[in-house]
Amino acid sequence: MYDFSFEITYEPGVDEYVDLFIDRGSLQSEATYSCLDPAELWKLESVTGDAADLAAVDELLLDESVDRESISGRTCRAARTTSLLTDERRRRVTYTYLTDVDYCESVPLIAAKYVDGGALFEQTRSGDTVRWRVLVQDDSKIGMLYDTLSARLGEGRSFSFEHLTEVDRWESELLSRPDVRAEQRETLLLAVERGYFETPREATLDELAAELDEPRSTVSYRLRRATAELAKRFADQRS
Amino acid sequence: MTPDTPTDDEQRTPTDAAGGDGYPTDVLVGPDWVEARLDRFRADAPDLRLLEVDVNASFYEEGHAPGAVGVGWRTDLRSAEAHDILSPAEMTAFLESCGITEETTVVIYGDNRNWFAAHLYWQLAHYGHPDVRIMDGGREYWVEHGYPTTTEPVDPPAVTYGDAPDAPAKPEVRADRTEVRAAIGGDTEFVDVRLPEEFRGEVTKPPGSDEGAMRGGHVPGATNVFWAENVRPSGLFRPPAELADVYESRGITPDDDVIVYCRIGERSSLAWFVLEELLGYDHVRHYDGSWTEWGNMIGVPIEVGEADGGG
Repeated sequence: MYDFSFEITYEPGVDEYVDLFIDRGSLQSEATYSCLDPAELWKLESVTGDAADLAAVDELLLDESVDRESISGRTCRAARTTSLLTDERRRRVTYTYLTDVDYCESVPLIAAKYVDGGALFEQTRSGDTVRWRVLVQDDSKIGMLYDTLSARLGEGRSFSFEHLTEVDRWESELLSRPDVRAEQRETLLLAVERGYFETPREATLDELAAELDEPRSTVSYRLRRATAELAKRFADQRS
Repeated sequence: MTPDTPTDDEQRTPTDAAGGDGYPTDVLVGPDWVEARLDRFRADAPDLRLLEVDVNASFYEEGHAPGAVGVGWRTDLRSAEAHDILSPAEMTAFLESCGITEETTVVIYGDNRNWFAAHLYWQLAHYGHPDVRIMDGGREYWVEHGYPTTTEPVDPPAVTYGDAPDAPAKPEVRADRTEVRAAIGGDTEFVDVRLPEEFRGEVTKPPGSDEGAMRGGHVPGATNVFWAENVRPSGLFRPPAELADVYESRGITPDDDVIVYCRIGERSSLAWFVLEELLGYDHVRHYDGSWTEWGNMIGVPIEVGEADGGG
């Protein structure tokens, strides 16, 4: 399996969806795409961020006339449906389905024309940058895909190749689970739920300890262990 | 969807009906022009022949314009005897195998907005075939806009070319490495049509490809005009005023001596076609050795990073 990774960087004003990520720094998006037939495409997108920033995204996320797929200067000609699967304070998950595609210059649909047997697509958005990882079994058409994708970019977008490597370890955030022990997870979830991590804190360690019926020192220790594990995993994924 | 119901007015322009959006139809025809003549392309009589040449060779088998002869760039457009374009004898044999005589109007199209269609056009210009044209928009435009396609094989009747070339009729459309080296530092404008990251020297070959060079960068003094700037998002060539501005805004004008190049000489064929045939520049040469030659040679000057702003 090969990993073809590249970034597309957007100038402000060329893509209304990207503009939101440029203007609102807390927003992050992860999406996975599936496309075997160049006439249809589906994706799951998870957007996280501060509540106010997420509220600003809602309108665009669910507006089926907004083209979040095309990388070129022309809008996809296809039928699009979007539904909201998760609606939390700091997270939205949407499902988008494109069908009857006459043309749509999105990364997965262009790739589907070149790569036989399908590919997996992972996309992350942050600020002005959209990062793509395309996983393929065979890399023989990747050179063509590189030339074609880079040429389809509309004005105000720039292409930067990162790597083409054979995959021998997995670092994806989409499929990973932090290794937090069950009692630590229980403590952590309660702490988040009660607002322990809010500023200012909405719960004290003593209150959490009382609710869990554990000594304060035990609760404190579990929270430190859990956050340390998450922090290390976070750093590993970015190194 | 039918071709005559566009949703966005950029998609269907006078190009299609007139065959070239104000460009001369003896070099550029629109898909409507081709569609109206499909029966003649398919006929045994060799007046008109349609050729499809794709970067991705498997596209042709998935469907092509009825009557279009499939051309493989790796097998048909490169010399079997040397690392070079076709020799005169090879070119004649290739044309005869496509049912083309010296009287034939040859129309070429292909994927990636006509990369290799332009390359074949340039080779035919080099050898002086009298009538050759490109179909605007290429394969993608044809397929995306619902023009007819078929998977039927096309086997044109064998013909004799006629007065076959034994040498290039227009050697002035080609530049070799000696000419390139001699032109550095002079008045010649070098146009490098590769991606900015290739121009700057950060990428020396496309991922997963063996079309590489030992050194990255560009010919000293070259201007980076990415090839895709010649076409609109739909794949049609930009209209004349816009297209002229792509070059003139960078100080490259019709009376300049120009040499174009890319990585293996296909994308720069498109730029050559634009400058020579669509914009009527006086003297445009195509350095088909391009970066796979220049970036692998010993002792030639190379510039890296952004252009220095010089000509």
